[in-house]
Amino acid sequence: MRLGFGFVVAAGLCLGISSARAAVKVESSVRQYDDSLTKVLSPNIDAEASFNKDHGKVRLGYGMDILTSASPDVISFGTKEIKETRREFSFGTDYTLGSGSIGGGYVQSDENDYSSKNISFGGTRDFFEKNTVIGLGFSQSTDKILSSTDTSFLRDMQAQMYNISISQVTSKQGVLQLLYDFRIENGYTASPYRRARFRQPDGSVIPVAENHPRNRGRNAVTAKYNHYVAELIMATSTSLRFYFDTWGVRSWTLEERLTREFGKKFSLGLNFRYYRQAAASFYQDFYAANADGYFTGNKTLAEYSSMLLGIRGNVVLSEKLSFFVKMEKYNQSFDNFTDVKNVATALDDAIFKIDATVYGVGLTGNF
Amino acid sequence: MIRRMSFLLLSIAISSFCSAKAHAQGTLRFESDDVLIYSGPGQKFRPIGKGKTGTKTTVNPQILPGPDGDYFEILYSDKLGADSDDEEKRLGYVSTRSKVVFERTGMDEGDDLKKYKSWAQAEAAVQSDITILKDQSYLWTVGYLKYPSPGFFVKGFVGQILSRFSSSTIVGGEVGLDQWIRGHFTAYSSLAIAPLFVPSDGTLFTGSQLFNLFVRGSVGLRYNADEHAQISFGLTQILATNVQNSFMSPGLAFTLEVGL
Repeated sequence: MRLGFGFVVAAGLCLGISSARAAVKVESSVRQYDDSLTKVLSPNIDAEASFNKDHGKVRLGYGMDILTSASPDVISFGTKEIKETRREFSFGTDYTLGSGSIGGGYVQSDENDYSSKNISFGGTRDFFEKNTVIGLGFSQSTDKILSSTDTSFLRDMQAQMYNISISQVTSKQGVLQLLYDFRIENGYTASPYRRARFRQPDGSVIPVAENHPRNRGRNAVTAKYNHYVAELIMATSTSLRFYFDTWGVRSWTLEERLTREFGKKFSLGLNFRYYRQAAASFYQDFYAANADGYFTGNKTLAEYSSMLLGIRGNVVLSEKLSFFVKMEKYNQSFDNFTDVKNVATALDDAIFKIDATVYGVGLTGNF
Repeated sequence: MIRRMSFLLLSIAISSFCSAKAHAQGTLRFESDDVLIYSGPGQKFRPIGKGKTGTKTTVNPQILPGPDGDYFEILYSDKLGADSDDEEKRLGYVSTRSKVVFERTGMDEGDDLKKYKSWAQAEAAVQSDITILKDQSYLWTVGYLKYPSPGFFVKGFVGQILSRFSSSTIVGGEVGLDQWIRGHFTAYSSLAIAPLFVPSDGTLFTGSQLFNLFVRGSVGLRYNADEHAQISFGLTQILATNVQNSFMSPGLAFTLEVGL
């Protein structure tokens, strides 16, 4: 599925022209992630058209991740760098009924060695004059995994996701939301490129293809509280998320977002996120030479913490156009994932760390 | 004196005749397209329609108290404000806080509200369900539903997943949201969870054990036949899982519901 930006823009314009009463919003942005080992450039365009007095909405999106990486967990031993481009097309619609909404969506993502298709549905229902909203959602995806180094390699993975949420207006300025997500992944859950590292008696390291459990059940419970401080013209959004899965990974995330308006033309946002994770039960940085069972080279299954600090400015250029620019600093510190470097000796091994900077700019038009 | 008495008696006779025939004395005019009409006096009742700006309907001048405020009792049909068959008309309820204007009219103008029924809704129902899954597998359930409010139901059910060579039993619960679309049609979404028991290890999917987890999500369209019988058609996805492995399938679900 290869669709150009032109198609999405044209589709957005067509939606705008086809119905004089429809409102169309188009947002285009570019984001760059750089941690010196991995660079990802992500151009993105989203269009949303509303119809029937804003009761119905149709969304189209197209984005790319152009990745260049020499991260130790993705390069296979002997490979210096990987380059790939992921393309994602999304379509969604939802319709507001008398006391709630119902909707669905489709997302397709393709790269040279991975493709994924996802279908989702969901609904919300208001109670007590919209003070309470209950939401249900679920989705199903089918992934195909290939390898650019082995043309005969083909595996698949299926996933299903279920979620339930309840939102409660707590005051004129506050909304509390509780969410529960349950996701099952089943099939090939490893990577054809990553290697688990087996330490030999002589100190050298032998890479072995990953052997992951076939099934992974993931659970997340999130509490969010949004508050508007009228005196400061500032909105706050606080969330706390607890995650656990059948592989033994446990994590929690604390996130805070502040957005303040400075007049009608300018707003400034700050965001902070802290994440702490315990390793999967079968994760080891180095496995013993004769180890059996499950083994992995995936650093995201290690014990680690990460922190993100971001700033975003938004400028209203005209009645129809606004512009944003953002910058984020991201830090990830692993407790038990080592950058092996020279596999013949352990002398240059070091605990792996990531220090990344993310830049983003975007333009939003309302027509 | 006798003349006065006979005038008085005549007045009483006329007034009692008039009071016997007098009925609705008001109309309600909608001033917005977003005014919801409920099947009972309160938001906990099912929305059955919306008013249209500028249309009028007969209203009971006596305001009814509801759990969340006062309500007008009105005459409602799918063609509100236009001519429609009496059989299609029902009583509906509109919050007094809505964008509506009450207008008092003279005697005998408009319909007599007493001769129409409410859109009575069963508070409990029995629902049976047949779902076609992939690989010649099927799911059936039968359940008991309770409606804490018309837009929200809880259900307990028993059923089986039938595959080519085995049947597995589920006993569980479901929550669902139901929203009025138009006329007799509503849209639903629901989420079910249940323990799943297979007759022997490895039945239904490789790695299955005696006790497994069953989860199901559905969306679809329901036709509410006079609120006491409903049929629905929807898309569904099911999951049977344990720590080792899973069975997943999309499906097409059909339900029949009868109010109790």
